[in-house]
Amino acid sequence: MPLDTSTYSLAGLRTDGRRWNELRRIHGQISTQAAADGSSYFEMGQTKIICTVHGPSEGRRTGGGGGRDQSNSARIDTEISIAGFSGVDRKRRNRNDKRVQEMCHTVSSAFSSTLFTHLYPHSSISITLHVLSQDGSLLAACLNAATLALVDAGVPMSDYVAACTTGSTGSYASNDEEADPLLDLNGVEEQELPFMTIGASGGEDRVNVLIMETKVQMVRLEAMISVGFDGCRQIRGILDEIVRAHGKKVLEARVN
Amino acid sequence: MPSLTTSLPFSPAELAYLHTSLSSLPPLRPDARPLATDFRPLRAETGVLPAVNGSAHVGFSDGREAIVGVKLEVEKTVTTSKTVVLSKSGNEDGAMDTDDNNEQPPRKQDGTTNGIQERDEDKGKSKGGRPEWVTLTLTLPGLRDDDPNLVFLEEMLREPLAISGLQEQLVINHRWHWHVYVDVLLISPLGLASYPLPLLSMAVHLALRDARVPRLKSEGEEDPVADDDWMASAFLYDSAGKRPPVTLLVVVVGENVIFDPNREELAVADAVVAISVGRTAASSTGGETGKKSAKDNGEEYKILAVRMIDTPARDTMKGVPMSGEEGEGVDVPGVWKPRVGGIKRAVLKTVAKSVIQGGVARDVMAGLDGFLDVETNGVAS
Repeated sequence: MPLDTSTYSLAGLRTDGRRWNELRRIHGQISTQAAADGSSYFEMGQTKIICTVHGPSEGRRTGGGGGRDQSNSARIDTEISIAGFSGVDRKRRNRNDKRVQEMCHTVSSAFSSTLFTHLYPHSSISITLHVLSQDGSLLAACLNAATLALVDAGVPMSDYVAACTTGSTGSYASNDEEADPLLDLNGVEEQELPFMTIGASGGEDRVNVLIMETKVQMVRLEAMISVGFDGCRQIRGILDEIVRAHGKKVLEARVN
Repeated sequence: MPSLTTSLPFSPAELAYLHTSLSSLPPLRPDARPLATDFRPLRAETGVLPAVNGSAHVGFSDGREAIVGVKLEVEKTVTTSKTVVLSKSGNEDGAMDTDDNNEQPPRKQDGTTNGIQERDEDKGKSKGGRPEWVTLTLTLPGLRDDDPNLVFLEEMLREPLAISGLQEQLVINHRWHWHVYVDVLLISPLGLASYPLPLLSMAVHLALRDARVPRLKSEGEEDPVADDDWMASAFLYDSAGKRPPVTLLVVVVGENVIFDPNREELAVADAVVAISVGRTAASSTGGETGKKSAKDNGEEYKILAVRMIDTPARDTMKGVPMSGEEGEGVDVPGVWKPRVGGIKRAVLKTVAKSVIQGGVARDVMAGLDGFLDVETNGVAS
């Protein structure tokens, strides 16, 4: 059912009862799988992701003994598998889907700037993301889940990568200069409204990831980005809380 | 924390030790499980996914996990246009559409029917469904979608579903039916090397038990329109009747039949057998069931499929005795020799017997039933 955005404004409520700058329910768990080096489970609203990390481990995946390894840093390999039951319609996704490959590349390059890969030359870190259910903010949830799993795996990094989506209440065609920014769009909103995924790390509003697939007027961009930063700050706080809660649990289990 | 669990091969000495322990009577299992029929504990929950008809999440104690989602979609029934039915009188072609010719044996010639197969119009449904209305896909990260081992495993999971007759319940009317999509996601560090068949089969079983079919507001031959009220939906497997099948992995070592083998037990197996069992509601006739079923409290357990799996003990290195190499065919006790050949037919019979008459199938089904009872009763209370 198409979204009725006529009532969307700064003062109004969205279809799921949120205001323009409210995040959805975010829930995360770390170390959900004992068998993996690092693992996490992350939910942003109804978007649910499982992430497992293996590494840093010796040897690259491709080019075993023959290839000459020139680089002095670890390689980050990301694989995303979107389950057939993740959307409303059951859809079997091809592994080599271009969009999925682009997301994999985005995740890999997002972490290549925050992880201390120079400490592990000739190694590879492999991140595997399983999408169980999608309802908007897919890339953002993948980045957050991967951050948690990498923290669990003990890979040294400079900061979390916290990501969220931000959009605009007016579509491009409506040419509405007064359109308001929105934070954390759900699945239905993403289909109708322009939105972008923004990932920040470094704690000083430094952009790590910015992906936008839809069109929007330039005048609205600044508001969207500043709202996005605010959202990323909130999400960073939540990710930190999740990590600390797990740490506390582990310590208490050891002490008692 | 590097993980060293991936594919550490066993040495010939270890293999010989494991084989000797498991061949003794009673078998001494490496994880000290007292009985050959003891299963490892598993965690399970159903109803974990929001956008599906049924779902389950099952985890074994060694860290492997499977998440299964069952989705039902309405599909148009493609009917074969003309099916020629030969009758004794040889009058007309059997021009009526039949969905599955094999399901209806040609009727004998008698005065009323003229040798033409006819659908039972009273019920308003065509008899039987097609096995291709059940699609099962397995996703394992790191493997290609057309990897042959993956495809075999998918078929091993799908086959008992088709044999147990799931497609019979999928018929809506002559032109429409439900298509069941079972998507299985396996998260396992060892991948397929861990023989995930029983784990996946239990996860699929629980997801199918959890699956609900929306109630249809349309009737008869109308295009199907579903009721938006999810609470009005019915379970795909209603509680009184059939159960989805479960596939068990069984290992034969010497004279012993061992259930739920772990990695060590699989490594020394003389034979590995995958047995699919199903449970049907008690049938009044009972006469048509063969030797392989047993009545138990009014329910019958049937073996739906038996598949032999190549035992990993074939690919092992042989051990060398202290006194030096022996000739071919000389078996030095305590020295490992890789398995060759198959197993005796009598042993396979023992396997089938212990599954059905020995009560293992009943115990597994009872365990799964009990788990689901706890879940539903827990919700209600």
